[in-house]
Amino acid sequence: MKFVDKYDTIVIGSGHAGSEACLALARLNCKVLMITLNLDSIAFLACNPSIGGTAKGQLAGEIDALGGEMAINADKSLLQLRMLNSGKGPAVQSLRAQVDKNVYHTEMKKTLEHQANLDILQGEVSEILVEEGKVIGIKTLAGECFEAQAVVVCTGVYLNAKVIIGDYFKFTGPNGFEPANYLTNSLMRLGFKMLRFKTGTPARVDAKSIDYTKFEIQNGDDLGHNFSILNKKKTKNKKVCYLGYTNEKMHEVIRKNISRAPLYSGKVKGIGPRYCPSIEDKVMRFADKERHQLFLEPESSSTDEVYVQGISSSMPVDVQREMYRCIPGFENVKIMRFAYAIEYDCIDATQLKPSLESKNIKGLFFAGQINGTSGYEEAAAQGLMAGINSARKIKGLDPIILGREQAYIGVLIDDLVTKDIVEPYRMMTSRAEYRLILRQDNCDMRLTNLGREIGLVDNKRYKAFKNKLKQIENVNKELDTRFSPKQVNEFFKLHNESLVVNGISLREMIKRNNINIFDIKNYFNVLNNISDEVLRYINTEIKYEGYIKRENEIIEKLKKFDSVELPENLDYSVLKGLRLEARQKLNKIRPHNIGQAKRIDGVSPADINVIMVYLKLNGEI
Amino acid sequence: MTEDTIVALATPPGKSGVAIVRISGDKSYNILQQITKSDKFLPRYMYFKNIYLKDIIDNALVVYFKAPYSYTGEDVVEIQCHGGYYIANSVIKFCQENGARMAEPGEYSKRAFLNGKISVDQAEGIIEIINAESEAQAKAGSVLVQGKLFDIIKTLQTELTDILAEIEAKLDYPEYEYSDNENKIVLKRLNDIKNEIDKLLSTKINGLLVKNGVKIAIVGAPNAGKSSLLNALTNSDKSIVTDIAGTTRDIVEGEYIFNGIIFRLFDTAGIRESNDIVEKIGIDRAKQTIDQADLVLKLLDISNPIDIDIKNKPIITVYNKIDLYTKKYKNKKDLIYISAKNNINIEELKQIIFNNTINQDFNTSQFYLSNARHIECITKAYNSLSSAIDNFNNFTLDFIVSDIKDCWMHLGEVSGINSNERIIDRIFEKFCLGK
Repeated sequence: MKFVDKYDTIVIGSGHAGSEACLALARLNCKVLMITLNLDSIAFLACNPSIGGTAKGQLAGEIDALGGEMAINADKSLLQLRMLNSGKGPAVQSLRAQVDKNVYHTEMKKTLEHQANLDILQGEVSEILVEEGKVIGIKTLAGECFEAQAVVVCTGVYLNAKVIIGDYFKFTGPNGFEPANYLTNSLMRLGFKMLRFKTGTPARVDAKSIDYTKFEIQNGDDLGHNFSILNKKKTKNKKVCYLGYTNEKMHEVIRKNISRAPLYSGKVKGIGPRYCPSIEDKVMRFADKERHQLFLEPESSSTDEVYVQGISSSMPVDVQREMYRCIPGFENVKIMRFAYAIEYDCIDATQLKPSLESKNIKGLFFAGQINGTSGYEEAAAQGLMAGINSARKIKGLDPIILGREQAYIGVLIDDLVTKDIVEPYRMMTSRAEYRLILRQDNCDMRLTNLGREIGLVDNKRYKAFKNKLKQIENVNKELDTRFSPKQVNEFFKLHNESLVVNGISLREMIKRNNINIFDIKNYFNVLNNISDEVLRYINTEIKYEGYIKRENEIIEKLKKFDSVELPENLDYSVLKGLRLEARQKLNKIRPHNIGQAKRIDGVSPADINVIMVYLKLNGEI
Repeated sequence: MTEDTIVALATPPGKSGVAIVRISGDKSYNILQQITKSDKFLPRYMYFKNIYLKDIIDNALVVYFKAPYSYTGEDVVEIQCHGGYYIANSVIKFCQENGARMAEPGEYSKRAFLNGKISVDQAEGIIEIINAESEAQAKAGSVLVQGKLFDIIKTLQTELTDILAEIEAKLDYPEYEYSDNENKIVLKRLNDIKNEIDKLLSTKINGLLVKNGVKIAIVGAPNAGKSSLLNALTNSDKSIVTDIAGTTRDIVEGEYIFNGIIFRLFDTAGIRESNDIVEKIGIDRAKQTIDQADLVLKLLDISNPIDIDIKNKPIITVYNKIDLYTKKYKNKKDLIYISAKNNINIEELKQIIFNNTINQDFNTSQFYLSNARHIECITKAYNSLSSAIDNFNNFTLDFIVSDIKDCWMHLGEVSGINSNERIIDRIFEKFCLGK
């Protein structure tokens, strides 16, 4: 075979997974080729013009802490930043940024173009080249072959993509971008089991046709920082969002036309996500709800297009127009792009190792929506890890596998490779069993040292992190300062707290229910020159010490199961004593350690015991 | 690989002179120090020590095996205490309160194997044990499925799933609308569940008593009617009467089942000082019987009540032969009037015996918790839920959820329902969420 050029790694796709994968690889000194259907689709925000949200904010924060690009790029295109759930507790507080989708694309493209070791090429990959169970490169539709030791597949929703609007459908990717029509077949020839999923997006409407007086305004928060931990400047809020509601009149239009909805007429075959139902789905399933929320989000400073969050739909265009106009404030609304549903091919990700490498084909990695996930942050997180691990594969290093107790990224990938995913997978805080530890405020504490070891945390980030650690150390010293009853009782009275007869340290004061670290700082004029971000972190760590400690104890207990590794080629069908269901599941998933085996649905504690005995018999432990 | 510390009774449950409680794992030595209030033990030396239990001080032979020179290959402590369920159970309870958990079936053998203490050719045997145990568990599980306990736990879990889904939806979807009043309702629902779990725990009875049966000594003057009482009690189920024979000088044994529990009856010779050698042997035996009994029935002839002095045992006083009179008698908690001959108040007597041995607050639902592991799990569930309720107004919901989830998981260890997906599924079933 004649190769045009030779790379360490080729990344197929330029979305949020592809971009992170390329940057990670190039920054780890691998020679990389990014090949994508359309250069104008680099880091394209096909749905919401926003980054973050509950659990997703943590994902973006973790990517940032490891030295990824998403949060930095969000800051470059920031329109508004909010801390969600600020009243609901530190474990579920998440950052969400409204971003300028045009700027987001151009800034990411610029970063990629300026990155050393990285070539960018527009083209369609028709085949992944494999020899003796090992990937050797790719072939394009134009007939050129490129050699590589590893390939990362980040094709998003483009494989055999089909857009559906009512009775009309078209084989196309999002936003009229071309679909990829050949790669599914190549993957199937290589033995991959494919799934077909569905997702959707709402209409974009003309800002000039909206009566904003009928909506509630939603301002950004001033947090004293931006999305990336590197960006300590004042929050740059430039635009506002609006909140509105659907009404009974609109629901009536939907009910009247429900037979024309593809989901109900059987035209959509893909499995859609429950957390992202179309408005027709909401109206039919939650018939007793009189209204549903909707949000108006600006798409960009350079366009009047407005994203209408909350009412995605695949109704025919005439129905869409009629139903949108029922919304108060939308009486004269002009739809610029119609809402649509999109179907696409993805793989069953249990065919992957936790490193995101294929179990059967060496050097072939997968990341993003191709693995059955949904969301920019989920994609970017996988792209980063696939980038890191494909680089390590080439260098002969062990893969980096984040634990469920270490990061949402760990939860995400472990779920993907362990569970049977039946709908597009979206991260939620309730998926994480150690939510109290996986917080937005400690992403860097959890991961930046690791990122440094991997080689993605540059000096600038590392220095900032070291500074933060120093600040924390200083605060901790200051918190041991004791105050006399005379000094504090007035303060306690003020906050409706019981008085003390003995002295009390600042640390003990933070534990009081009605007092937080900021109250103390302001009243006693202490903890000066410490950033709010550090104070928030320390406040959480002290206030919830008991809960955090308990969670840490559980984690310690479970760690022993992760330390027992399982041989990759272990044939569970010959293990005497395993139940049939466990045998089948174990042979399918082929868990990498006992911890993962335990998490497989259908594997009992008795089965685990049988495996342990087997390992011992064979001298594996 | 370090494991939890486990504890279990190493001798067969039941009445015996000595019971051995075995503890294995890192915390064993520390537990030994605490229970004996002593510092230093040389490995493989046996010590005679006081053991300090919750409401009793007993003495015991204790021995410490230092890892790896022990049955399991871990630190092992064996406490040889006096037989009988009470002491042994108190020792086990002490261990649980100090960081040990009840061992799973076959767990000692499994550990012994994993630590290389049992040879390779025995390994097949171990797998069989594990499978046999899991099969037994599965069988026990299938009984549970049909049983009331499973239903109760499932109902509690379903309600908790609902509450969790509601809170999780609020946490994961900041835009989801809800009123402050909802929190108050959640708290009320949590309290209701806590009361239900409390009710469930109040049916907790001693597992060993259930397994071995309750030993009852019948004590009374020679003609008080011991044999006829024994017959009356066992009459209802003649087929299980195992051994009724001999004169009243022998200890006559019979048994009956009440509320699913076996009650074993031991007759005794009349207790009074005697110089008659044969009778003296009988009296010594009678004293021994009383010593080992869980409960003493003091049987008195109502026409000629001769009181007998018995100390340190739960006693029910039974007045027999009320058929001689027409008067109405009122029974009390530990005092009952019967006629063994005419079968009057025999069922009531059984109920009173049951109440005084198995569970004093026992309700008539005919349902009780007897499995030590179930009790452990449900108690943990109760504690987690209490923590959620106590902290409800002081902590944010994300922390409260971790307590509620804990409770849910502990209940799941009894019902076998423990997949997190159920909560997530419920969120989507119940709430209208998404972009």
